[in-house]
Amino acid sequence: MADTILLLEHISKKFKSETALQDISISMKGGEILGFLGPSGAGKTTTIKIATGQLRQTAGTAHILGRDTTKLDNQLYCQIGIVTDHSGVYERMNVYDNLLYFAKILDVPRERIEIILKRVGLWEHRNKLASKLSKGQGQRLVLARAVLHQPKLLFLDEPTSGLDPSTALQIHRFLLELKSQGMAIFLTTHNMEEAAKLCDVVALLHEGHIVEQGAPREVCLKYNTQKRYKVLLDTREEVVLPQNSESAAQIARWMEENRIESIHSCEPTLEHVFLAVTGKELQS
Amino acid sequence: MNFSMRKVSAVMWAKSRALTDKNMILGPVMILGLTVGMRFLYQSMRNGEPLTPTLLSMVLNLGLNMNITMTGMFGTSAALAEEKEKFTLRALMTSSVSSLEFFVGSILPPFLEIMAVNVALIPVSGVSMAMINVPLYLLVTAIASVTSCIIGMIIGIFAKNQMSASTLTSPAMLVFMLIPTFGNFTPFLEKLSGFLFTGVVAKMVSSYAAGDAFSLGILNTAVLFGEIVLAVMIFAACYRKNGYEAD
Repeated sequence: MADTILLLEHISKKFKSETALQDISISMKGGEILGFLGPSGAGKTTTIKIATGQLRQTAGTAHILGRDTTKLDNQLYCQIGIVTDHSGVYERMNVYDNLLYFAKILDVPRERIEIILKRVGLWEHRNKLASKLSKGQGQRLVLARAVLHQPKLLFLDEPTSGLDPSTALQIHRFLLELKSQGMAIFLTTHNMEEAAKLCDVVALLHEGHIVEQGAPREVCLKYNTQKRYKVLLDTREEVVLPQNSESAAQIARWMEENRIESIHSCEPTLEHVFLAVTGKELQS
Repeated sequence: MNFSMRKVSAVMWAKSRALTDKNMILGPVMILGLTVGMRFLYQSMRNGEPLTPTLLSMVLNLGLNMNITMTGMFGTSAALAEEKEKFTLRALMTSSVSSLEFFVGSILPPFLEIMAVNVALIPVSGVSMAMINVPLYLLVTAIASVTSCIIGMIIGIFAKNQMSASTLTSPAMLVFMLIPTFGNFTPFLEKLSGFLFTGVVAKMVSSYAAGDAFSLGILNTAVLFGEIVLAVMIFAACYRKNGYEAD
């Protein structure tokens, strides 16, 4: 418990008659990225709101940095950063002033603004009004604001949703850098590639339940029941073989004949796992 | 509850910048312009003759009432509604700014702006400083201005966006601005005006015109302080129920 940054135990949340979350349990340590995967409406944002004390759970307990989330004081917010799709910027302020405002609030030295703006690639746009930024630039500004004060825990709700691959890649690199500095990151996404690439642990959320949880590779291997290999031959023919002695012999023969262009294992992706567990597509 | 002057001044810094925006600066400029306009209109109606104290006080009353209600209520309600509409309020609240810090930081810049215009309105309206008990003028207009700002914050709690803030503010502005402005026309409105904080302001200005030494008295004091306390209580009750925005 000592180095546990976030601990949710048996959290449930009901809105009138609708159950948004049911028996959610998660724990996170420093320097860890936890991916909360699920389609829209699965309860990802509700979980963030409960974890950050913006919403009260119906049942269960939630602790963030050792504090009960139902009894948080404002000082705790100095230790966390939050980026949601509802994280707005001051459109009539320029990029620099948007950060300066929060630097004043959080008592962060001004030098840090330059460092962070350079890091997210917005330094040259510092005098641009926030209303004139592109979606990707706006998202980077929100992210810069969330990490301005070097929080211990960062909540990111779909940070790359709707962004071009290049901007998404820049954000991924930045998140990995933050992780290497010891920051814990709670990431919600419905992009399984993003989760597989970034996360140490993933939790698959479906209709308010966690249906699977663990390291991405372990989760995928758990559902790797068929154990197949995809072989691309020199004739550009693609052959899928099951794992058995005949396939091994066949592959050995092709190798001796120098006919194999590439060979890949066919373990399921997180998308396949989600489909297998819930019968539904993650992206839908 | 934590209260940090650093955070209050940060919120004030941001709100002051918003007040200097061209859309927001238009209100006080329009009020000062309209007051000058009314002054010269009355003067032209009198064929260039100087205005009587009664007419001067009507000019000052119009300017004061418009400034206190329009800038106070609309300025704060629209600013709060904008924070909700653009999702910046939640960013602030999850950045360690308490609701009290936000409240104080949001009210002070428009209050100071209103007070500056209240003072500027004296020479602009053509009223002689000699006619006015300046400390009492500042006290009464300050209390009325704060009350107006708090009413604006209450409206801001219920407004989902700037459009609805504008819609919700209009009836309140009409009540608090028009009743004292037309208070001299019918005894009923005059009586009603006596129970409004803007009515006390109007009464004070009218007494200057009549050459009376205006004193607050029990009723005026009760109205001024009673309404500011009532506004704070209503704000606190609304805030407890919904916060600044309902989930």
